[in-house]
Amino acid sequence: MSGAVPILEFLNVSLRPASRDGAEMRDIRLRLMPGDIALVRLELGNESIPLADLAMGLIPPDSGSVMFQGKAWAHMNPDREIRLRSRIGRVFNEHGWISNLSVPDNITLCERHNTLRPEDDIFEEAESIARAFGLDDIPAGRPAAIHPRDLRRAEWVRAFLGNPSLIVLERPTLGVSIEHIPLLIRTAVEAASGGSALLWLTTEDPVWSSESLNKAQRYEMRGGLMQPPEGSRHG
Amino acid sequence: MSSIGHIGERLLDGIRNTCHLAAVVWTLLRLAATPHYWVRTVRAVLVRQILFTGVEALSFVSLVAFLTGVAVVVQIQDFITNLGQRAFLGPILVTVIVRELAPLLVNFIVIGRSGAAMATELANMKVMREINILEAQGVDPLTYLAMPRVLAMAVSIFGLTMAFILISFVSGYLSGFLMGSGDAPFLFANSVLIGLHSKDVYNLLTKTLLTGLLTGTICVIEGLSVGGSITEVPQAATRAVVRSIKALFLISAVVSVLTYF
Repeated sequence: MSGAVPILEFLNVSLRPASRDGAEMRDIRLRLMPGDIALVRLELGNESIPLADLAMGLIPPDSGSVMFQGKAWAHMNPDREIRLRSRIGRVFNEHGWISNLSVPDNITLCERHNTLRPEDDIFEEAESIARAFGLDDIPAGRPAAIHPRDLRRAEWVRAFLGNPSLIVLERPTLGVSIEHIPLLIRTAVEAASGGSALLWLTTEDPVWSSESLNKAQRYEMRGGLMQPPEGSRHG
Repeated sequence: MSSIGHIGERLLDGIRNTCHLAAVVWTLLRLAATPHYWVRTVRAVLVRQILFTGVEALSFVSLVAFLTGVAVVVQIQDFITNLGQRAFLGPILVTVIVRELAPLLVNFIVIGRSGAAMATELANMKVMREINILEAQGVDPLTYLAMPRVLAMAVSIFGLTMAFILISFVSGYLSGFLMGSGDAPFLFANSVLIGLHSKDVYNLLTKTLLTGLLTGTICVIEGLSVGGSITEVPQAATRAVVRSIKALFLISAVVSVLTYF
């Protein structure tokens, strides 16, 4: 394991408030190996932080470096950046859909665009993940026509489709019935045991206190700093 | 600022915009010439865009072509018959319809119908941060959104122009025939073919494919140039239409001068 390359690594990453939406991040350090889960509890009133965008190399940090699979996003050429991002699944904090595509097309877009897998295979896998999340099928139609509760779970399907190396979940349980949360946790743990790394941003107690996630690294955002929870630091 | 300074600034802006436009067109053509970018999702966008820009516009273009044929071809046919110079029918029809009117009208229709819609669609995607969503999924917006749309615009304008020419000639001939001033069909067709030269083919290709590429690229650039506000969307659509029309007239004039003088 010592020779394994971390899937995601934040090396003293800072982002000034002026950089984006007033969000500030200071000296963020994080290392996710294959199979690791990091739970980050967001500060109330400051839930929209660009941690996921930084992790995916979509915005550059003001200082420090974000590495994906051993290479800094800042040092990659555009083609490689795009290719590597296709290995990352994500649930977006807010709007996460292409409005003029149907939900099934949205869910499978990344796989259809970046792989040569037969479409039937992709849709079959998507349907199987959907069933694991308690959906009878993938919701048909444009995202605007789907109930937000089902749409959120459809977004879970997209994030886990294609066995991604890294899965970034930005408050994925917002607006979802509480009985569906264990389904997500179980799938997340299974993905981690399959070798994926997970970065899970949450404000929800059922997620933060879930016993199924007791092996996860835990951090709390406080004033732009990402630190281990109070109790664990003193304990 | 002095008026000369103002003119100079406008001129520099124009040069900068033209260089930017040329650079984007060149980049898109390079992408299009690289087979591995033509993945199934990109091919699907190309087909969908041709369907929307070309096939769905065919009925409207056919109507305009039919009416143009009636209005223009009948008058020319009648005028030439009265002068007793029927041998000039073909060359004059080619000059008016093939060289200028067909490409110009079809471009106008496509700019108004699809160019504005394309700019609006892309601007909405930008405002809704859907471009970031594509990037986050490893989908390059230039390859997935821009390249197939621009190529579809060029192909559609070319196809629609061919349909326009054919329909306007047929409708013109039939109208003239019904009014009693028409020749036999093969004489009419022969006269048109005699009027056609290789220069006309070059002229037509340039005024359809090149203007299509430029119109598509302008609409993509303007659509993606908006910031984060929804109020910028109609402004982007208006800019796209105005710039496309300017480019259309400029290209038409320059190509006509270069081809025929």
